[in-house]
Amino acid sequence: MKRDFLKPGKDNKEERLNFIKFWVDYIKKHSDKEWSEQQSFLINSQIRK
Amino acid sequence: MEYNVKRREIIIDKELNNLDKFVLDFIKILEKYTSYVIISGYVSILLGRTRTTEDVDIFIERISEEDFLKFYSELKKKGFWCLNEEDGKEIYSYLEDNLAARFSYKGKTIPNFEVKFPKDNLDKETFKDFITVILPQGKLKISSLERHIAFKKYFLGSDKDGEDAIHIEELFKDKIDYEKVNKLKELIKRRK
Repeated sequence: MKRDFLKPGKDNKEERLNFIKFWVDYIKKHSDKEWSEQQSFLINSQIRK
Repeated sequence: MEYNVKRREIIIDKELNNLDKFVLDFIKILEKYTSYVIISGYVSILLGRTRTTEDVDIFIERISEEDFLKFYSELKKKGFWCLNEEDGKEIYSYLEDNLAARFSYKGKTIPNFEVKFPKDNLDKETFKDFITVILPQGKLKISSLERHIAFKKYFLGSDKDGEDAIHIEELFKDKIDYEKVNKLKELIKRRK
């Protein structure tokens, strides 16, 4: 399968926007389990049970 | 993730993170006493955004003081506390004055629920077009995506809010009713 690449932004705003689009594309192309596991890693590092 | 526009349902088979678990814990108690709709940042987070938040904003339908006190009593029994005040009658008076009351797990400050009564028709309409999100361990009611986008872009307006809106717009591109977003934009402008 052809790999998708993240386009670097010209400034911080564009960089963040490109990342949002890249991540949404990832969500669409992967199972809920796959993307949510990564989201959990991020959120659980800041919010402990 | 699957959004059925007609049924107003989004099904997500996600691994629940600690924020999702906190939200489900609170909602399981709240929904015994009144209707609710979750709004703002957590809506984007629930639907995959790569950030967290310290608070979960929620509108609850107005309830009597008596019912609120029963709800608050169960909250306390199940391990929550209010950050604003201990006395239930006082907390209810804040809500009645259109102020927010915040609830967290006992002994903690974050994450917390920022609970409000809807204060005008624009807020009240949130209850008419909510979406149900079906998770493996429960259901949550969130504001419509159009309302979410309109408030993020045209009412709140920070960079973070704009990005929350873009996440939803990119995710559900073809399923968003932009006529409705624009109508809400006008109503929001009038309110401002």
